[in-house]
Amino acid sequence: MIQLALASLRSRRTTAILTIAVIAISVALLLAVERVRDQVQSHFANTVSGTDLIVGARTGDVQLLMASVFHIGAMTNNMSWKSYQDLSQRREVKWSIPVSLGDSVGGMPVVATTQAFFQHFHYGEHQSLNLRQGQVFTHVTGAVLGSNAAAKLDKKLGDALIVAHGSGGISFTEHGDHPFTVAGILAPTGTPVDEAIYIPLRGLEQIHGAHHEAEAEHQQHQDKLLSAFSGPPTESISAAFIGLKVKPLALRLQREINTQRGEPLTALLPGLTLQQLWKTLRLFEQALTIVSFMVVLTGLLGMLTSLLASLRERRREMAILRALGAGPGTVFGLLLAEAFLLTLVGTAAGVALIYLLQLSLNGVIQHYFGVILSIHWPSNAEWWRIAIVVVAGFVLSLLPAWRAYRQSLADGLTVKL
Amino acid sequence: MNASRSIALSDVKFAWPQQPLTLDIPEWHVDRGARILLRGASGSGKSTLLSLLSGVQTPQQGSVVVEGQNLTQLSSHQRDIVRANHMGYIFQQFNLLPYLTAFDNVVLIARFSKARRQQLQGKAHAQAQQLLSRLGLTAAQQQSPAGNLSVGQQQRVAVARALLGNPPLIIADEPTSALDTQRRDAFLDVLLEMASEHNTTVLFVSHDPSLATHFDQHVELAQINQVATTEELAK
Repeated sequence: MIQLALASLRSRRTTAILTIAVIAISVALLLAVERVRDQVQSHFANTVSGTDLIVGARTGDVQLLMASVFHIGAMTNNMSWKSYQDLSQRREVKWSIPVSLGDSVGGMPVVATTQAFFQHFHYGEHQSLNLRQGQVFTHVTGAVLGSNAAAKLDKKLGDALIVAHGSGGISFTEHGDHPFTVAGILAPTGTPVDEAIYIPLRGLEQIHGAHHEAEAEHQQHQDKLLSAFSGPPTESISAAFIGLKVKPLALRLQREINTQRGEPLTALLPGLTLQQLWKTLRLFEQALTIVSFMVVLTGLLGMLTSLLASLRERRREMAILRALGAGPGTVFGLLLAEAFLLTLVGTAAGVALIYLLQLSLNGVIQHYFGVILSIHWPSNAEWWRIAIVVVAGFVLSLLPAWRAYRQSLADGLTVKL
Repeated sequence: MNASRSIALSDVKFAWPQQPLTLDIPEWHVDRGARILLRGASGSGKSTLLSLLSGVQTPQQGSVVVEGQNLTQLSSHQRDIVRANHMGYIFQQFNLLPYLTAFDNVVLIARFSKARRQQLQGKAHAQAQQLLSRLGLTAAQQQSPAGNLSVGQQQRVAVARALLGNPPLIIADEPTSALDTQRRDAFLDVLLEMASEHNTTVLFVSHDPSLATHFDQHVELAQINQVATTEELAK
């Protein structure tokens, strides 16, 4: 029966191939949405790891997280260096990283920080940052580039960087007289770190605060070793990443910081806030899933249409089979087998297509979106989606099969064409 | 039931849903090995009679016995099996699945009939080739898609399929209507010649009385069907 269905399909191969193509594309889309969602979610959860608290001036949790981790949006207020120091010297605190945001190079965000960043910042599953080339900045004008930032700005070790104020691609205030030099380039992480440019806090302070100082004195400062300085590197920072000695204390410390007198600050637990943020994105994600299921439905309805349309011209075929002793049940089965074959081949082709697309486009996707879509065996969720498509295809194919069954019962062996 | 009869109808009445009686046949039989031309004008109930004989339809009343099987007492599935096992059926035209080769069209019958497979004892392919060759199809034609053959060639392939596994009864539904006189006679000759080799009953249905010379018996449907008789009497 399968052989017969195959031969019959082959005789209508243009329609069959088109039907398979439509199903394949819709299945690929369905899987792509699931795959992107899955990857973005894990990408999202992997952006920061090991950090117990993020602290900044009083603002919303999501805004603080977006600015400090994703470099999206800006912090309207800063927290004073003194507050930061008080915080970092608390007994519970194991390490802390101050960051100052708001500048950019060619649209890529600049993060001013200290060497502590490269030592303590972790992402993914407790992975630390690695340098692909060069070293961590040691001079005031040193800069370390994220892997994508280096690629997009086309900078190599030793190249000069002009930092512009503001985060847009075009800025009217360039700190042109204070170029930074690329000291190191980080290995890719698949997180927003890849997009950023890291400079020392003192370097940022210098380009912002240089106007107070005499030009001569400033010139001397330029290439100084960071270790040559003492005293606070800056007056205020945007946010601080904090690691604790005892992790469970994070919640208590958060409450303490959020309610303390003195400078109003916000502390957030990164894992929790990331989850909240992801929940707000869920609606969008669900809409995407619904749309892609609609596309699959359209593909299957296309198959239904072409099968139903073919029934009229195939009445003679059915009559011949009936004359040979095929029962109406065989005719039913034949149509079912045909539709099922189309669905199966279409679905398989869709799965193949998604892998093909990933293999050929992963580089491009990573370059433009900074997301690495890992190539893996279909996940459970994906198997479910595949199963839903196959079952839906099967259910829909009952209709043409039923029509053919009724038709062959009515026609018998005498078809008047 | 008589063992020497290929077809026996008694007291058969049939009407299509919501329509007047089409067939009313008190008694009619065809002897085994007979070659019969059943003639009837179009609309006289020929197709309906063939539906009953092939077991696609059952009469509201009476019995239809084909090759010793009372079709009216069988389920539709059992009737399908009787058809596959005991009948070779040849259509007016479009007998073949155009997407299979001529050869595959012939051996297709063996797929649906266990009895014919047993009869062939695994020699289906050999017999199919032999039949097709005797019917004048070259090896290349046998392997070319049926849709590429001429109408005459297609009808000969249909004969080969009907004969494969030597079923006791062949029903032909106006198979020559698409052929010209010369090819029609050639077709009839080869069909009847091959049928006689295995004493196969041939029921040939046509509206064309000029074919009568080829057959042992010539039956007018109007003679056996009382519905038609009353109509014709009314004329």
